[in-house]
Amino acid sequence: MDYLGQLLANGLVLGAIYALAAVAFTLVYGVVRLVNFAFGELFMLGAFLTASLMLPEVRLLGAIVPMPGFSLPVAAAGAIALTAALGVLVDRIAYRPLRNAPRLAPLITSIAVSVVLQSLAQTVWGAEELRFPEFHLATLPPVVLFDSIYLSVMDLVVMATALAAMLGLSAFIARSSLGRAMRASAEDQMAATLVGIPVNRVVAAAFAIGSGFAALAGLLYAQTYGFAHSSMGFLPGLKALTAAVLGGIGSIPGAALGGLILGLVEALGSGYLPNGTAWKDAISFVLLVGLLYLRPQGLLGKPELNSAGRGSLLGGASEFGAGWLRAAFGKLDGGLARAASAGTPAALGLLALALVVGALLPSDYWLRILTLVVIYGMLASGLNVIVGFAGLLDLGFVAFWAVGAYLTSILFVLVLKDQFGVEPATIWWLLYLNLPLAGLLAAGFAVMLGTPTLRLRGDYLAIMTLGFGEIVRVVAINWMDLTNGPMGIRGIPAPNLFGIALGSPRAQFFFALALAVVVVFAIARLVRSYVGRAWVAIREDEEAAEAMGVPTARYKLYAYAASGFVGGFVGVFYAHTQQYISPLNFSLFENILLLMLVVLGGLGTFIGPFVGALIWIVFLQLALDLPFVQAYPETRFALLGIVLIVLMVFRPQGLAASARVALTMPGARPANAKEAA
Amino acid sequence: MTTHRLAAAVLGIGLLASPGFARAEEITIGFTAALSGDFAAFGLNMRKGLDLAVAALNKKGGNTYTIDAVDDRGEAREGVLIAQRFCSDKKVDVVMGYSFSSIALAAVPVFNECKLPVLASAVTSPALTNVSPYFRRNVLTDAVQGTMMGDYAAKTLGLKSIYVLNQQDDYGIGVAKAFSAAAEKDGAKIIGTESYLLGSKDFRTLLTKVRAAKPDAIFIGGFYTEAAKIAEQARALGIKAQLLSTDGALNVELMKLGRSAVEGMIVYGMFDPAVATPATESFLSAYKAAYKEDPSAWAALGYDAGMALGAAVDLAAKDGPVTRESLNAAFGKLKDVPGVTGPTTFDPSGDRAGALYFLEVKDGKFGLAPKQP
Repeated sequence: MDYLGQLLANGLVLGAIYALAAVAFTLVYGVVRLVNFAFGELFMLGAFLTASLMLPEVRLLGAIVPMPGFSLPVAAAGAIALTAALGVLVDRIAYRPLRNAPRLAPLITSIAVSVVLQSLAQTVWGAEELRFPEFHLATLPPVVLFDSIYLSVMDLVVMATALAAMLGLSAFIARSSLGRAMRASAEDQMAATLVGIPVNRVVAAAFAIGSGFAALAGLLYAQTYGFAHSSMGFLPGLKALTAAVLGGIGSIPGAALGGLILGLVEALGSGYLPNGTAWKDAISFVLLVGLLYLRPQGLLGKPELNSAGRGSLLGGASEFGAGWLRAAFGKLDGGLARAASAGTPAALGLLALALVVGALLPSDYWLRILTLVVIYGMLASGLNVIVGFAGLLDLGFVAFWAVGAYLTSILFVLVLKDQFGVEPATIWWLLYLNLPLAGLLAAGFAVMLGTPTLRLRGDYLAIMTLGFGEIVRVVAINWMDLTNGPMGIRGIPAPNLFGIALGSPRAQFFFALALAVVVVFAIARLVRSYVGRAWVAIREDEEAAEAMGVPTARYKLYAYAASGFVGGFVGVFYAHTQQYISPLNFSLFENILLLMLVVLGGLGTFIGPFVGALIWIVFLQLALDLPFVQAYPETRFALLGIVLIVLMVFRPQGLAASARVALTMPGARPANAKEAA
Repeated sequence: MTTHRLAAAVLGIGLLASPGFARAEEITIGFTAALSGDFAAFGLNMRKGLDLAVAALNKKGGNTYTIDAVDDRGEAREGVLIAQRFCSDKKVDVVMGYSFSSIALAAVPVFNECKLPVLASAVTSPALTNVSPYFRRNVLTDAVQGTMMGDYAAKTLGLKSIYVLNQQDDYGIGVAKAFSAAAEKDGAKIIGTESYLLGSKDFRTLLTKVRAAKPDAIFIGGFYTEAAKIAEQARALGIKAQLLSTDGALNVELMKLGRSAVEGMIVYGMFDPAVATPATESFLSAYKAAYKEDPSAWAALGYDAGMALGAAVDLAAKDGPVTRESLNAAFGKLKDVPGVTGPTTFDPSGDRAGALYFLEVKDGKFGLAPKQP
């Protein structure tokens, strides 16, 4: 009994914090239909600002700076106000220019903002954790219930604060005129504008309140666990988003309920399952996936929000941008459009160029970089099938990639070499067998994962697939008998053909190129077939496609299968070129990265994923040599984030958007374009 | 190896004693570790130690050393790329650093190709033993360290029932396995094992489980960030068991984060900030002067790696220009290079023999534990 009691108490504290952060996601989502990933970082900033304001002095950028040394409530109020202002600023810079842009553009900028904020926080406050200062209530002895359930006084304060904040917000939304305006904007922005509601100001208010809640959650979290750190917001942010979706995104009581349930399930799950703490993250995602399967709109959500993702991912454009920049992108566009219309000759020309570069490039280092570009380009192409062509926002693609990489590694190393003593060099042909085999396995896996997601649309789909990706990763870490866990699998042989080792960087580049030709050719054939036309129909308008007799469920599963096949296929080669894999290779960030590559390059194009990969990987390598980055390594990702935001704000449809395969009828514009006009 | 004969002739003549080789070598160190992202603290500390060593070596005169630092961000995909970057850069003579065994493991095949010697300072996976003739490290493997700690806990401290917590990665699993095996052999009982993911913050539930088992001691196979939180949350839940941890917790940040809760925790490490030998004293004061903080174990290992490199370069330079190959051979020949973590000698397996100090947190500082084996 005391065991259960303590678990429940632990779960309640955690749940209160999740609930507060979930409110931030839900409030902003309700008004602008944007999953703002940057709330995780505002959560972190709330913690850092509070801790800094409470200390007599802090070390900022390596220099000691005197601080006021406020008590917790004063410091918290200051930090919440500052974070709220920052939230409004972020909206102004990174989201507002994209209100009418393709739906994925603001999602990508929100990820970029979070990368920038996290890197900057590390630059300012350092890489070490900052101890959260003592507050006099926290030094009181813990409250002991029934002799065995320990709760600190601050735990009670956390729960009371969360409750008060929630009730206050509910009252505010229900009673105040700004709250009414918010509800009106959430219902229908166009109608709200027509009746004279200043929608932009309402959105700014939503961002301010949401950011304030994120900061409050962050500072309570930091107080509870005693520290602040630049990366502390990522996982709680993800959990809060999960909680918001569980409860029904857009609903404030739903966020509270979702947070509470998530906190309790995590505490009870890790308390009662064997080695539960290591499985904790998987538990919450299993819960999420199960619930969304049964009730796609979440516990208290409105069913119509599940259709929020209606319409094309591609429609709309940015109304932003200086003249010369527009002209520059326009030139690029023209070139790309001409190249795309040339079709096969252009593709062959590009291939010839790649071959020449591969043959003449003297540096092994650059060959490795280009190999990585081709690999990520291929992976992003696989993701592009499902996101760019079928219009389904998939954040779990990394799982298919992992399936391929693990299949070949387990077969070659753990089974044949370790169990049967077979030298990898004698079974070099197995690699070529594994390529399609892993593709099929991953495709099967993709269909299995895709089936329960068929009822979901838009962002709900994204969160559910994200859950799948995380579950696969946690399994790869914890199921040690199968995957060797975090120790990873090493000694994976380099590719080999008829006894000729293909281990040199140049050979691997050509190998990757050959695979890329296969992948792009296969995708191109598929996209131009009736399957691809069905995908594009689903992407442009699912209801219309359904009404025209396209069996959408079946074609969605085809898209999952094709995308999974590419992931598994490339995964095999990836394992052999890296020669060592571990779950670290398949983190959630890889997934987000692949999505960014696709959006950056241009959704629904063949060249886009490669353009995105080229920019991303080459930028990161070149940035290494900047003297500034050598001195402050953490600024490299901040720079990358800024580049991404700029590219997205000025070119939300992707750099190579004009090379998009024209499978829609000329003159038929997607629905969003009308809204933009 | 770039030997700028002209510059050397101008600058080096007066500095070098050995007459046949009146040239100063320019040594470029390729340094890679996680310098940003979640786990940047280890790499940054290592670099601070190495920077200090390089400054000392450069001040000594003769050979000059420069660092080319590359951040791997703790991401596995970077491992191969960074290794190739150093391989292809003919200026780079040696690679140092590495925060994660998994990234080092991914990089080793590349270094084998270009025969570039590696001297790592923070990777403890036994899988790296004998992995390559070009790979060495100046830190003990977690198997060796865990065994020593297990013996110490059961024999020297006489603990009877121990609960093992470990972070779910190669380091935590390796050290916990070795610890448990050694402690059980010596008569202690391991009454439970649980793992947690690196970066976890909430250990209350885990500790509720531990509390129900009523152990004498809790062994934390992990880093200081988690060890501090476990200590604090354990005390808040009323757990009074002896806390034990690893060299991953041997960091002055442990006391900043855990404050009174970590009092009495016993950790081990190759570096003892409390023992002031002449070598550690000058390091301690130089480090404090440079960074206004106490050095961590990783900084000490980074510093010693730099000093070992200095010794190896001097050794290699005796027989002609320093090349990657001659430097690698020189590393193998080093014998008892003095350092703040004790003398450095590399086994043919690439590992280093060394002693462990058992340290206890007392009044917010690490000091030698009252009971030593």
